[in-house]
Amino acid sequence: QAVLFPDAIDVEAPEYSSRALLVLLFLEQDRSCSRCFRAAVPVHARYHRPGEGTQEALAVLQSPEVLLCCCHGHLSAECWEPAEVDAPCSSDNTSPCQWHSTKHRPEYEESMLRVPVGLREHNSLVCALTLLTTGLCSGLILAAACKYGHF
Amino acid sequence: AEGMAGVGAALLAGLLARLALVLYGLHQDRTMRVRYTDVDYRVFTDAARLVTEGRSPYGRATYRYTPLLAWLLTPNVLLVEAFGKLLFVAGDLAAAVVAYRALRRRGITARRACGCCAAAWLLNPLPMAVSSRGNAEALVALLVLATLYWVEAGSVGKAAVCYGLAVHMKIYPLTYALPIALRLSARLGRGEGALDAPGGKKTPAKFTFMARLWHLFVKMLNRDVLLFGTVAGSVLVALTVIFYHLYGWEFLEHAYLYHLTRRDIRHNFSPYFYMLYLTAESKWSFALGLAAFLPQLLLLLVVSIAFYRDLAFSCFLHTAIFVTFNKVCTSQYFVWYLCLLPLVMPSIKMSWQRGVLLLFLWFIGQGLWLTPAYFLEFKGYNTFLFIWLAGLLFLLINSLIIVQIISHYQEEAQVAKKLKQR
Repeated sequence: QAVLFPDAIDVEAPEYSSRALLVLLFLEQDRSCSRCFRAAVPVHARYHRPGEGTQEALAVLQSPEVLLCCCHGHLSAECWEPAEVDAPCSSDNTSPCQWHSTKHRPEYEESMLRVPVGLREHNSLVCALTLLTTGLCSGLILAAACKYGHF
Repeated sequence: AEGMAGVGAALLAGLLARLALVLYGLHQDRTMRVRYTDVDYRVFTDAARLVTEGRSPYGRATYRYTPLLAWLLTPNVLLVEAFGKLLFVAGDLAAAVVAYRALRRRGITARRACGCCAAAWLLNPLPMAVSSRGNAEALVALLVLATLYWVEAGSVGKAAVCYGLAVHMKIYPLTYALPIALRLSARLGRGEGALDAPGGKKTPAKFTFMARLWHLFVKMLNRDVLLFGTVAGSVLVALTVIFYHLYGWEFLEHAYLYHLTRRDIRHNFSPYFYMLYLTAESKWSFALGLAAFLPQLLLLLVVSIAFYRDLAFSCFLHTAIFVTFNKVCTSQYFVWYLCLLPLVMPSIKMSWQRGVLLLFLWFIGQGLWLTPAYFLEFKGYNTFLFIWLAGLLFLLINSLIIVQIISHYQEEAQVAKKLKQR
């Protein structure tokens, strides 16, 4: 169960015309472990701008924040603090609920996704060779059509 | 009767192979990480679900097709999700039957016609994969083949209806307008070349090139061409008006305008992809797009005028050139010209060794592109230069194949004889 902010995303826009995303994951307790919550998030990289001097673009994934809902009788130390965060109650119910933020130590402060990108240095070579090859190929086909066609 | 048995066997083989692939696809979707079913099929199904709820299919992001497709696939939601794939498999088989009948109409023997359809379409792995993965190309292929069949048979009205539907579903059949118009205007002529002087005699000294072009244009405005244009235009306009009334501006934007202005900078088979990706934001972007469009346009014009007498061959070349020189090219597009290959095969007098060598080169070209693309997309290596070079090589291979097909083309003696008899 996941909720995205903003919820209307253009999945085809390149990276530089897209805005940052916020993802809320509603987790259930893991069955095998009493205080474990697991989630796996697939990440798909969009086309980034071609790089200048570097072959990779970096996308930063912030370490997740953990929010606690003091509902359904699950109480813990954080429930004594006043609730600070407004977030939807669940993925189906968009009315706001009160969530408590927790202090936890993340494994990594942030994760870095390295996305391969094209290189601007290739610009002139690529344009020249592409146009040359397409010109050559069109010339070949034109010659064949003129030679074997009925005009 | 022997001919029918052969056709039945070929159709059965094609059907079984496609069903096997559909079943395998269901298995792979459930078990492996890389799904067999194309993303497009999920888009169709989601849009069909919206239609069953009474909403617009364009509420589904990236749905860029006609609403007819979402309507046709509502059983995906109501019955079983694989219904669409079975529909496309049926479209494949129907296309093979139409191609077979078109060949028989031309006087090709039953055995040869069956062999061409089987080798080029029914048992060809590429159309099999495309339909079993859930792409709707088979339906457009069927409509295009039906159009060509009816034009050759002389039923201009039926051909125009199929043509209007085909253009509504995918815009590329619009390029067939010129060959079809030339063909319809030539049925009343006496087998002269397109640019011959009026009166059928070749007198190059008397008539300039511009005069001949003008004569060609005037010749095209005959009754058949006008009927075809009117009926096809009416079908297209009627469908557009109905869907605009139902779904508004969204329909026009997604079904038509998107395809005309589409710039795909993600990697694909097109030789232009890397060039367009690197220059996407620069001031040269528009000029380069135009530079990519002009060779395509010129080749299409020349090929139409040179080969209009054999409509299937002309359309085949048209589509092959269009796809090869397009700014975006994915493997589904190959089905657009492969469906015309059975019609064209009897006219190409090539030794089978040469044919197999060209086919082999074509697959090698794709393989050389797919390898660095896999490493880029699934392993994250920076293989852009390799993908680009493989794209250029694939362009060279495709051009070589087109040139070989043109140089080994011989009009069937039957066709020339029929024209003399008129």
